[in-house]
Amino acid sequence: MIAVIVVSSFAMAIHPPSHVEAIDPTTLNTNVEFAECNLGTRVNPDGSVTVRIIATQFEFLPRCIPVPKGQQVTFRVTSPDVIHGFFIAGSNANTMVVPGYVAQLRTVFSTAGNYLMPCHEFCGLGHSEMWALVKVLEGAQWKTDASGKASCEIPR
Amino acid sequence: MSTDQDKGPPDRRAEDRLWRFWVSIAAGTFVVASLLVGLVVLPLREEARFDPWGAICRAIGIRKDAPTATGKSSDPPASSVTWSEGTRLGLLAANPASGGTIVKDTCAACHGEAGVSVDPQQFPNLAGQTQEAIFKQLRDFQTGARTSDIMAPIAQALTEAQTKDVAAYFAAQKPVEAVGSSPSVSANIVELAHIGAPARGIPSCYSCHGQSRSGPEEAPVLFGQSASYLEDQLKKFASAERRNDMFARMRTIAKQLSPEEMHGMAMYYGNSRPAKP
Repeated sequence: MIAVIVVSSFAMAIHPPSHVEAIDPTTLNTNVEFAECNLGTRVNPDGSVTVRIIATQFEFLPRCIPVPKGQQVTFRVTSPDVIHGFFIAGSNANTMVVPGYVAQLRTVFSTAGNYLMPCHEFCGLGHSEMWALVKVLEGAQWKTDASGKASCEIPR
Repeated sequence: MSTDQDKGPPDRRAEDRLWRFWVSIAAGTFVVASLLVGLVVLPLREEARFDPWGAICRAIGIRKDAPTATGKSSDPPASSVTWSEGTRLGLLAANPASGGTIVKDTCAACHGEAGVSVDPQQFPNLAGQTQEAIFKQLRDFQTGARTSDIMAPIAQALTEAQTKDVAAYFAAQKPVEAVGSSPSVSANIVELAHIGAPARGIPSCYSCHGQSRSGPEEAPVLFGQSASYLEDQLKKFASAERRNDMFARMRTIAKQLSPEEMHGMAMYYGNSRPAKP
């Protein structure tokens, strides 16, 4: 058992996210870091990539998340209402989004393509419609605007 | 007296001590190694720079570094209403009677004294609307999060306590019977309202605006409004002309709907009667 845990932790990078950070869920809509204009993918001045997401009943904001291939991406996710799930199918990104805390994890995508990101903690009647799309882009497809922000759209 | 028996035969005591010593070493090493792996080694593998103390602090929840708030919030929030304990207690303590006095002087000319609008296409019916929804919209008119040439000055003349009283008064009124007869809307609109569209990521209207109210606090009751008022609001959300929905919930959904679907949804809610429990 211990051997399985150790091997999956080191070789497959599957382990509980070790980040505990409190945030007030009742005032999340006036929080500066998670303000609407700060959500989504952003390349920081030092070149690192941070994605800020709000999981709420019943959507992820933003719904389309572009990320670069082969580069470490930091996800910061939080919820104003109930527990939601953050899971990017086909990657090792998987955590609960508990109101009152910022779920943060880092991962690297080695294959370009579209990844489904469903909510995988039952969160209410609209749970089954709550999903987002992670687009792993490479080369010229990966581009940001002047402020370092990257965005994409899911066609209607 | 019994010490000799507890510690076993005298000739085995030395052996016992040695065993205890090595067991303590083994258990201690295991605990320390586990703590190192769990709190330092694994968290550090994700970090760009070597900072074991920071890794421990992050893992057990005492962060020494402030949250990395890059970028500033230049836009005002969609709504500055927060569902904090203070707001909720204030809503519970609201006085519908004093709200009624304000309604007679201020709101009745358009929304009706009992919350039944004189012109539902322009002014929504407020009778039986939830207290949270009315309070939030009044506050948004005050702060400018929701714009209206008519409502802004009226709302700004009220104190926060008065907005709660007014909301409590309207919430206590008997809801209007929805106008019109049986819904003449197509089956796919009814399905969208009740089941949603999982493949398009559109939750059903019912999941937030239904009688179970399983969604956000501020989600209003839709039955009993005029269809043209509802369609107008959906279009304004879709174009982001109206943007006081927290976390862009309605903007995200309305953007996904076709004009025909918006019309159908408005007809469905504007022309059908709420189900009797």
